Amino acid sequence: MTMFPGNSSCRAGRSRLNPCRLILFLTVLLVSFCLMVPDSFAVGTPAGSIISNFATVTYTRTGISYTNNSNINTVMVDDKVSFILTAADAANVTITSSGRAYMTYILTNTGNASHDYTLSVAVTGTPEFTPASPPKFYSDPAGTIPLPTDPNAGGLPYVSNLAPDTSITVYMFITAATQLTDGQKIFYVVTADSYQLANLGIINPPIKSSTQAAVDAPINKNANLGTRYVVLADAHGNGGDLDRDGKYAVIAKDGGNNTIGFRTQSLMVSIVKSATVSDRIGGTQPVSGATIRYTLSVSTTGSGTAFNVVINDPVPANSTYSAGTLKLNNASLSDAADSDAGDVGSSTPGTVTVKLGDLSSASPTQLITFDVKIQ
Amino acid sequence: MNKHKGGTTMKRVIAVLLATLLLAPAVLIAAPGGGVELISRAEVEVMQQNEKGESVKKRIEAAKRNVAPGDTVIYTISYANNGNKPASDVAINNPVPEHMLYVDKSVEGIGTRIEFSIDKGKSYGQLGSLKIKNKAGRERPARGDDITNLRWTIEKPLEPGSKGSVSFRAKVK
Repeated sequence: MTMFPGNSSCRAGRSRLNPCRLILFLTVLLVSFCLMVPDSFAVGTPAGSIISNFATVTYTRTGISYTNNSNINTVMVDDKVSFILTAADAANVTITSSGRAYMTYILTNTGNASHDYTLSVAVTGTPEFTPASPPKFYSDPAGTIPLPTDPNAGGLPYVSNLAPDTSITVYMFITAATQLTDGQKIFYVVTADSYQLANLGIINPPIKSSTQAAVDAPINKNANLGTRYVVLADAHGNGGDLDRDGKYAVIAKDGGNNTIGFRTQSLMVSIVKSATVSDRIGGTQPVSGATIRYTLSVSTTGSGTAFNVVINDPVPANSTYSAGTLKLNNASLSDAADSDAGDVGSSTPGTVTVKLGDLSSASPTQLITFDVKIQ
Repeated sequence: MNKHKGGTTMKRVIAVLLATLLLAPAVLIAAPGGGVELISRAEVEVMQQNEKGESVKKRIEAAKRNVAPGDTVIYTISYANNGNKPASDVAINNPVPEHMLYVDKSVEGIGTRIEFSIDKGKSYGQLGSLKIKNKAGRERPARGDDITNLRWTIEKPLEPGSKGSVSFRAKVK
């Protein structure tokens, strides 16, 4: 009886058939089958699984074959916290004046149980502009469904119940001020925090890691987890978190490992107006009967596109537009409102109107000229 | 004896016999008391600091510590002949547990012939001789993580009172 100390319920049953031990064995087998989850994820054995093991010996004694099973030892599989946050953008995300734009992040649960995560965001580096509204997380790229917030986690947005080996894409939106300066950037570090611990009300969770070269301190089993521990096995991102801290922080980078974020795009359209006077005696005196040639030079700075640019220039008082003198880039435009870009007095009475269409930073300077006669 | 009662007992015996047949089809006779007996131990290795402040490996009972995916468990099977007659053809069989993968080259067993199975114990061989067919029908040598069962055959008859142990490691999937 030396081999099975402590197994008192089965002590008497050392017969040829040992129904007691067999029933115990079948029970353990049944329990472990019940706890098995379909082997559908590649990530790992589900938390709470029971791994049972036993050995069998066969031997011959005086010509008869016998078999005997060992005790069954069982081991519980812990709750492994492992996840990755990825920034999906490959380049700066453009934001225009009064506009709204988003950066995309992918959160993947590489652990062995469904977990909850909070998301937090902070500016990294020196921001070159201030968004009109700070970053906010949405679950759709249209930015209509905000992530829920949880008061237990300080009102942070969170992702709940993310199953093992699954990902969720989240969209971080900012809105821009009405008047942006072109080419300014702001960068963010986004941190996912394994919300499992806060969700369970665990402030100092039982944490262990077999890969951690640390003292095997006694671990308080937590009632919320039953007999399971939380094992922090998360790696670190590029945003300054640590291995096995239950966090994953990421700063978006482009292919050349440059930090990327939101970049403003604003196209400034400027007009420089000049006048040349020629009087009737070949001089340049602005006297009655003299002609003034106005030149409007329209140019762009910045980036992006200005759509449907229209230039309006009222004909000055005490002067009369000289019919047939309107030109755009040295090509004549008719005075009537028709298919060409310009008209005089039709769109707006007493005003020269030229529709330049869409202008971009690549558009050449547009030259508008017209003559008026001083009355 | 009550006839009805006897019938129930008979049914029970048949049920147990059936269960035994299903679980151990190759061997029909359960060992009598005092034969060759096994104790299986599951342990994990952890780093601990000794009194000098050095990190040292220590084995802890796995059930007290639990495991997580990626952890390695050391299974040690102690055997002893607690009978009064020698036992021959002593073979210890341990299926690689559910959720686990055998760690290549981790098996130990002094004085035993060690063989592996990749078909849940239907056939055994040396690791180098076992071949796995992939879906395309192409063969490749079996690896540690293909192993389904380990078998240690003790080379000499086991005299009464003699004992030993064998072991292997497996990693949680």
